[in-house]
Amino acid sequence: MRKGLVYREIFLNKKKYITGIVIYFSLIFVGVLIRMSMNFGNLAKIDEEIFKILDKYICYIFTMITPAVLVLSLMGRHNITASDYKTGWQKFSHTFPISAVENSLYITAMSVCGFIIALVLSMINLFMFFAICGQKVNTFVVKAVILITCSFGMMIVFEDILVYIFKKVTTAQIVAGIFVVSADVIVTLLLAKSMKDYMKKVGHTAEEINEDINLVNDMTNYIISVAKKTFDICVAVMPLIMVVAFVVFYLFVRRVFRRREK
Amino acid sequence: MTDYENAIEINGLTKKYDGFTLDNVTFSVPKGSIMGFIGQNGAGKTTTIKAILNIIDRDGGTVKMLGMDSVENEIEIKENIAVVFDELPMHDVFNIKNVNKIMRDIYRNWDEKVYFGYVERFGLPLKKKIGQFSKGMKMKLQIAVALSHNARLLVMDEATTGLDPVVRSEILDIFLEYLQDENNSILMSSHITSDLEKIADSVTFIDNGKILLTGYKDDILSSHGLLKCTAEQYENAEKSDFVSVRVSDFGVSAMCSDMKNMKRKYPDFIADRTTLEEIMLYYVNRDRGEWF
Repeated sequence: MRKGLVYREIFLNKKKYITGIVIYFSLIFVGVLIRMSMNFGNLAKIDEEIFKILDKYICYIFTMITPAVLVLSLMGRHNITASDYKTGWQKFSHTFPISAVENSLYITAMSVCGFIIALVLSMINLFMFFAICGQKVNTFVVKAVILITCSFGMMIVFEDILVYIFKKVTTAQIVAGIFVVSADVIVTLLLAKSMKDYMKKVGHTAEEINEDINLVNDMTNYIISVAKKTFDICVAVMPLIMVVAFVVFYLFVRRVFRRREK
Repeated sequence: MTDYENAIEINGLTKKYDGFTLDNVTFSVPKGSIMGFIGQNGAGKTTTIKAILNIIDRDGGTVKMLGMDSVENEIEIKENIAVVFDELPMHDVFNIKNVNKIMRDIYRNWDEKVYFGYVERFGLPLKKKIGQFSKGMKMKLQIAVALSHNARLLVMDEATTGLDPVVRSEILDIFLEYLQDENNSILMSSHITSDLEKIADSVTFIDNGKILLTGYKDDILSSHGLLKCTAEQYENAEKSDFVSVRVSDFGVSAMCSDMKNMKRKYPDFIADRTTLEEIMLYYVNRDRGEWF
């Protein structure tokens, strides 16, 4: 791998990396401050029930935000790709004695490294926060962190591919946004379907369920059980999809470097 | 590597676009020489250069560079050529030292001493960001990069366009220096014919995707010429003797490609030497026959 090209990549992404790391440590700092306040400060005086809920939520919030922040800052080269086209570097790079395979390998390797570092740092953060909160790390949070890291990772890879296609960050982000909204719509439809399934199962109408708190709780539990099943499947499949995404990304970039301008 | 006659050999190069065709382009750049590639904007210069460098797919024809097939030996060829575009293809955030760090791993033969030698000679600031450079400084940096990996062939696409005469002259001197090594060659595309008139050994004219003329500059300049006459004299002349004719209130100027014979055929006409710019102008208007 050409060190010069890797140096160029790191140099151009420098600000993004620094921002990500600063946010990462700021999150840890804020989390620790809140936790210290809960142990020794004003928050220690709150009601025990609320304290327990707050304790749990702080752990979850901080461990779930971190993977997203890290992936967004350590992965992706959409700005570099767009400016490569704008400055003429993409055309210039076709005059270098570098094969398409070598070019696409270093670009993919940078993305994979960013993803792995984000995942490792997220895990460290997870164990650290749960240790600070005095809670035991359960498999659900570990799975959730993996799922969030992979989801954001896939989104970044997808966006990178779109920038190669459209050569502009804004266009790529609009298209990526449409896909994200579509995914949200699908999740909402699935939720609605599971609510409908529950109504069929218990033989009550929506109005009847709304009037009976027990039925509402029962329905919520039913939906959670469906979501848990889907969640488990997603966690099992997501890392595989992530690997496939990187392979597709590599093949796509290789095609970009092999394919001549029309 | 040096055992070849022509630095570039293009045969029947064809590229079709919607509304434009690079049609059967054939010419050679002899080793150790500088060839000017002339044509108006949109004539096909950049397309030809992109096709030579494999930046675009071609629809037909073959290209040999440094004695090797440009597709089969692409990597080896690209190790030994340098390309200079009209704009510096680098991000504005880099400085001279950053560029060195990037380029030294791209080319096997990258020579830091040569690079920093050119940087010093051009008076380029080491730590200033490229974004703050003037157009002339950016072009000098691009030339420093191009000449720092012992390239045997320099391909330039409108490299001197937009530069002031002082910087252009400085850059042309560098090219002449580069050609002191007889294994080095240059293909220089430009529509500034005065630059090529100064330094080119041979020229190729392209118009509307077709090569109109190719050969040694001195041969082209000596075979071509302008014949000046009155409108009445022109009426009696054979129209096919001329490339095209410019009619004005002061008389008629006709470009001919066989000046020696035309002088004999039309002894009453005033014969004038011509320039590459005039040749280009008259050839571009050849389809109009007479123009104003």
